[in-house]
Amino acid sequence: MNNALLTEIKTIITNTVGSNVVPNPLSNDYPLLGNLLDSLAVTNLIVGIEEHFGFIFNDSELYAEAFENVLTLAELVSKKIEA
Amino acid sequence: MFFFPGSGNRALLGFLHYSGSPSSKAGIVYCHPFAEEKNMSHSITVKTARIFAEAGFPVFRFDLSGCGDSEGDLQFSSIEDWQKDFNSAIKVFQKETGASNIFLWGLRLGAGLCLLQEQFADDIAGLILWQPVLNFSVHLKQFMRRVISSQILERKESDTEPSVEDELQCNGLTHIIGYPISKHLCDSFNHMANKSEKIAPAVSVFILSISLMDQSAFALKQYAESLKKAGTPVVLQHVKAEPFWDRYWQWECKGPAHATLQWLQGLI
Repeated sequence: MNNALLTEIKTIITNTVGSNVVPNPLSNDYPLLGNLLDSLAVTNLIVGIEEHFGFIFNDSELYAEAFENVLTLAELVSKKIEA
Repeated sequence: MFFFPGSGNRALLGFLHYSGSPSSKAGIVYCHPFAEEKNMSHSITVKTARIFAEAGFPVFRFDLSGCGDSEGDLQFSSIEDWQKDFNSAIKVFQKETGASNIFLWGLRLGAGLCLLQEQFADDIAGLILWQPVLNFSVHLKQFMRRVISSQILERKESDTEPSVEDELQCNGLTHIIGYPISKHLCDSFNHMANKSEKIAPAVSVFILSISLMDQSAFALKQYAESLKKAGTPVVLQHVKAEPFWDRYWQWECKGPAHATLQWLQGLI
């Protein structure tokens, strides 16, 4: 996985949930769901990703497994960028 | 603080921050964001309004119909009503302060409304757009995703429960985190869609990107570029700060206020 993309995803997560609650450093496999992300944060994270990368997800493209950690999120974004 | 008539003669709550020493005939009318973003941003916008007022710019804040303490029900509101509300607020502000150089300041959806308003109101000197929503339809869709987000959090399959869209079609109404979202409201957002993005204002525009990222979002850069090409005097600035409209615990965020003030003072 592209390191620059992973870094961008981590910054978007920090931007979404707040710098005071994100572990530093945030590892690629740190569990996000129910840990860093509540439902409001999931919504905002999706919006943050869309606004940063300039695309809109279809609802059908959004599923729980993609939000497990930084790596799975980066895979979701990578697929969307390539599509 | 006082009430004034808005769209459909509904009583809208307005709050005027008088300037101790008005340096010019300039003043600011603020338009708030949508739903929970309004609540979360309240503290920062009030503090920002005070900063602007102390610097010589009176500020008028008001609640759109169906929002906050203004009369009306959100489910019966529409973007068209809110444009009329905004227009009424500008007129009330002019009457109260005598300001003739008016800057429209909006956050998120409020910034999108500023863009729509610029065409219809006189004496507009400039637009201050904080992290603007450029597509109302997408914004509402993103807000309504709270249901999908809950399903993601609970690791449920999204097709095990009726979708928000199904509920809207069947009942004409759904509730998202307590906000009544009607088909009427959705139709209004969808009708406006990205109309604000297509407007090239004739006045100066200050776009402020606010996030913890190192630079502004791709969409805002693209938008600022399109305005430049259309001949609009535009400044896009990025402030690295917490997006306070998504935070219940965010009480201080002076960077956006100071960046905006610097732009304003450069114009006046």
